[in-house]
Amino acid sequence: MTERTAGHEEGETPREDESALLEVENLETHFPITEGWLRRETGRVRAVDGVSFELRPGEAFGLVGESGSGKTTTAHSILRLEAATGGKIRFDGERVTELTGADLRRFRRRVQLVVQDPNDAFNPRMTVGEAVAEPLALHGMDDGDRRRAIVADLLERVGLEAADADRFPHEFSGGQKQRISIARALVCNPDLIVADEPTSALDGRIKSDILALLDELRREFDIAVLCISHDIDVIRRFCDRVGVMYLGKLVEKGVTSEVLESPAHPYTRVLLGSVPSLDPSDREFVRPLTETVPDPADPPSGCRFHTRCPELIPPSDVALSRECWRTIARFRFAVEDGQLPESVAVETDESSVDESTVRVAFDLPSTIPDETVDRAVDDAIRSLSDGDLEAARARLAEAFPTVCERAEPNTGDERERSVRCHRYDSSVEAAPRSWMR
Amino acid sequence: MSTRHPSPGPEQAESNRLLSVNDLRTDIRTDQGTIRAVDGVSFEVGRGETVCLVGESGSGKSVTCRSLTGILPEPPADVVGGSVEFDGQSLLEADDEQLRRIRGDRIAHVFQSPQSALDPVYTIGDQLVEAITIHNTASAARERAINLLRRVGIPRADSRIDDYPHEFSGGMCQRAAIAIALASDPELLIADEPTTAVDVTVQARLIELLRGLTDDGTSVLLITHDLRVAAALADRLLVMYGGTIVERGPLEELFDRPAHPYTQALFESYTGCSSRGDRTARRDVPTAGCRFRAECRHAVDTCVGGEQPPSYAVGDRETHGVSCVHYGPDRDPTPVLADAAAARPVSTEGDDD
Amino acid sequence: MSDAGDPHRFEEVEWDDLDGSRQLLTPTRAAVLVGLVVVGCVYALETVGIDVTGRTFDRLDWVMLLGTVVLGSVGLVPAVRHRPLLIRLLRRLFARPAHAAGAAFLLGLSLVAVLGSVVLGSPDLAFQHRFHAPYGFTSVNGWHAECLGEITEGEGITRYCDGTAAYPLGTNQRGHPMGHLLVEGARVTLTVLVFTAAFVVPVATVVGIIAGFRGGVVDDLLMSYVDVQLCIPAIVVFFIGYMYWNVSLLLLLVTFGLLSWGGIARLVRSETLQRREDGYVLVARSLGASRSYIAKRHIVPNITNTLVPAIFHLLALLVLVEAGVAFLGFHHIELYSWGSTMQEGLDPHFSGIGLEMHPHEIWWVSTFPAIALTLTLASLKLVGDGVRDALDPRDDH
Repeated sequence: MTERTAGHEEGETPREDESALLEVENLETHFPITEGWLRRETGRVRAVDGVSFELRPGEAFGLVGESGSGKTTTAHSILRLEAATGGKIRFDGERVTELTGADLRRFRRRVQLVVQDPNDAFNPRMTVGEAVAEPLALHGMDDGDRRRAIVADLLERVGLEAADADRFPHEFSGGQKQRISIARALVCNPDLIVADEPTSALDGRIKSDILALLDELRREFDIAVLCISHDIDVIRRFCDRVGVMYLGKLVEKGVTSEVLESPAHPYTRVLLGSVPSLDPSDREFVRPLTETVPDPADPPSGCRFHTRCPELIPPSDVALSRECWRTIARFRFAVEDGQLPESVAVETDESSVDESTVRVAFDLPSTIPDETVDRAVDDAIRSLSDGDLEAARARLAEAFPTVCERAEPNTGDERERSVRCHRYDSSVEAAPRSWMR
Repeated sequence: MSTRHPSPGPEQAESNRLLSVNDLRTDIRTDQGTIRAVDGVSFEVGRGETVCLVGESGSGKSVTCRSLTGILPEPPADVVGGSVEFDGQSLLEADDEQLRRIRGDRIAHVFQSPQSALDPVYTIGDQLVEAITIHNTASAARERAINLLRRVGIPRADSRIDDYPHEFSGGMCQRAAIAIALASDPELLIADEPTTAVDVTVQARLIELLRGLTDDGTSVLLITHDLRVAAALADRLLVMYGGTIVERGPLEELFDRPAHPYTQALFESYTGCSSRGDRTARRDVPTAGCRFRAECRHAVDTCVGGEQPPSYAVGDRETHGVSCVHYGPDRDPTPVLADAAAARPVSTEGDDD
Repeated sequence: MSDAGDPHRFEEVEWDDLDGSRQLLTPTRAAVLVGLVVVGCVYALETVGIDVTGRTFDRLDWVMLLGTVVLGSVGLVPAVRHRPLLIRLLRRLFARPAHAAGAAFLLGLSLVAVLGSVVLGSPDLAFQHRFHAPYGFTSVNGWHAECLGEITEGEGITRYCDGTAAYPLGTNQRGHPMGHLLVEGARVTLTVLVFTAAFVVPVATVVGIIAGFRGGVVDDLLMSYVDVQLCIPAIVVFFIGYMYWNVSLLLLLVTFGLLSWGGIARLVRSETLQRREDGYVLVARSLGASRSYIAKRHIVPNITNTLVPAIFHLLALLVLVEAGVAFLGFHHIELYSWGSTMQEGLDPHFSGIGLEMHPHEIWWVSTFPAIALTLTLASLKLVGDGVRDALDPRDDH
């Protein structure tokens, strides 16, 4: 592409890595929650809340996370389909959010989108040829014959036939449609393809084939790919580097093989440990501390994962075994969340629940080696048995101040590997990294 | 006929056999012609056993399971042959009334999309109580409904029972759907891709839930395209392709030595051994002979014509059967089995736990 | 960074040369503009007293001219530009006999309405020939002063007048030939159809799409307005207008037409809401497509399954409303609507000519317009379904 311009605004600090194609810096995309006719803002869903990563030309970067983690919103913000509310997105050195006119049109050609579901990726009323040629027509190529020639060439490259251009999308299978989708993304000769769950609607060998095709084309044409997926297998096979998202935050990122083989962040470990193994003899799953995913409109303070984190850092003056601390932490966040087991469920009228029932329900030992902890737990259990959930909540929160709840972990943004977890922060007094394995 | 339909899978003691399907054939009639969606499928499910039907979309696994209890819309579908016996009773010959009673009482279904399986205008509790009172006249239906929700792991079941489906997350809806399925204490649960629409952490919990069911003695017929889910749940595996079962066997056995070229290809799609981005996008599954031959790298002339090859034992393991001519009496399966070692997931599996 | 010689790139496109070639003046817009200018000029000349058309135009005629301009430029110009598409559409529409019959009937109706009024002019009064029976039938001799056919003897003293080829479909109480009245009725019907298609349908569609696409306050406001409008009974507004102004077809069209599009707008909105989340809309947006492009290329073509039948239903409804209001007698006296003709046939005493007769004795006066009305409504329904099917590529026959 001869049309590329390199400069960026004056006065900005020069970027570290001049060769980055896409840089996302502290991206924030919040959606207002409004009420009533005047659309008064009553809250914000922090769908993406401070995400940073970068892509080099030709590199495949994966964003993995569960639904609601904000990975699709991140992609849409980069494409300017959603307005970012904060942070910077630079594409080839230019601020994406500030592009206008011809520059914006050029950006729109150089970055292409492949959507998740091949069944709604095409206008059912347009032939495949028209659909693949749409980017060309939209960007001013009025010469129909030329468009047709380009489309025919592309369809053949993705494993279809030139004659397929005159057929309608419903005549193709899911895998074939995804191939056409890829052809449409390639038609403008892009430098970056954003693939939002490109294979989640496909299974088995078709999925594998599409990934292989995408991989082949990426290497052949040196296209960078931002691949969004919830599927670890897709990330493993396709991506050079990966970022793991949880509730709008990028909790860990690094080279794919490293992250997947030795996950560092507790959430990554839970996520990977929830994928069933292909080894039938290995049927264990890694469990989070609690099951409820917090509401992104009201995310937990500090580290967003702390309410579910099996590796929650205890207060420095608490000396307990790991198991014991985990039990207490689970008790605490279950109370906080109100997710009490049935036997403890606080009925409004008939109050008293036996204190020992509470202990049994939460698997709490009758005495806890640490005196302050023991007292706090006792108090909380007593409040609970009296039906005072609020008091129990306050007592536990006060007794166990954890750094994970207090401060947001920030371990810097190294390109190669970064983990946003206090366990890796040398300034935090926590057990050394050896807790991991 | 006897060679084409060998005794399906490992022999079940007569008393332990709950479901037995023999040479089931289901056609789907469309304007373009008749599709033989299920083309001679035979298998058995024992009591307390989890049998997993694995295959890609379009392999006929869902149609197979829906043919069993007559929940396929007819037309366009048409069960044209075979027999289905559930605890000694023929399901294909049962009338609507009998089928309805069996479906509500002894065989339950769970489907892929939890939201669409629940009626949005009734509370979870209403739907559960309805499922209970259809088959029990107990006045304590609500109490039982709460217990069921507890059993499937819904916290605060006594208050959440009055929620509407939209107030539940996807995983919770699936749990509620399972609770409804369990309402009548079914002997057989047919679960069609129950974890496909949910996140992995939720999937892990649902798998644990389903495992708990078999511990209680319920049989599960699980349909999935995901070998990982199969590995986590199944006792035995049936691999489907083109409306036929191409390989069957105990889980460990089949994962240790995937024998059919199709099964091997399925495993390779996980391990990524073969990346075939150039493979032609269009495939037509043959309707006679070995259904997989068009894509099989071991295809020979014998694969053409006739029916899907009979199920031959792999090596000396009688329980592990594969429908491939290479395992026939006068053939040497060594070249095909050599691929099994490469495709075998256990050795190549990365450490992702 | 890449150059044209790079074998791995498909084809180097010099986008900068192509960029900005988006034209403001599309053929459709040009046609609208030319049409408006022409109508405007004629109007200006007529108002200053220069007769260019050779006849006097009333307000309804001007509105119809505008409607023709709108339909011609928005409907015909794109149709001519995309001929292959049009041909395919017509071929599919005419593939089914029922749809083809409906379409043929509507085409014939339009032709008769346009040509008929030009060729025949206004029907003449011929009281001496009133109540002639259609050809092949007889009427009581003596109802009319002059019997054109043969007079035959009946029972007792009754005599019958045979219908003649002069009035093949018979006459009404004013001696108007029924055929001529049917043509006049067709003209009224066509007026209703053109007005609805040119003004009501676009308003409904555009409002629906804007509400669905923009969302937020715009959506709230538009839909609240639609709700209010749906609560206003058009007939009451019509009668209020009827009391204060001269009764005219225009009044009927404006009140009923402009108060009846709420349903379609709501339908379009809900469909738009569904489509705007679809993958292809997302892709088009990521390519920088404008809202109007997406609406035109992606939204409208995909809501035809519900929109087209709804439009034809509205057309049929307004045709029926016009006939109904005319049947009740609230029509302009010089417009021979099928509804008013029917009414005259069903209530012979109404005309005050003092003859003793029953409606069934002059059945042709009410039956022919009733048949015409029924056929029109059925054709609209059939063509609506036919066009919907023809537009859907998934429905191959």
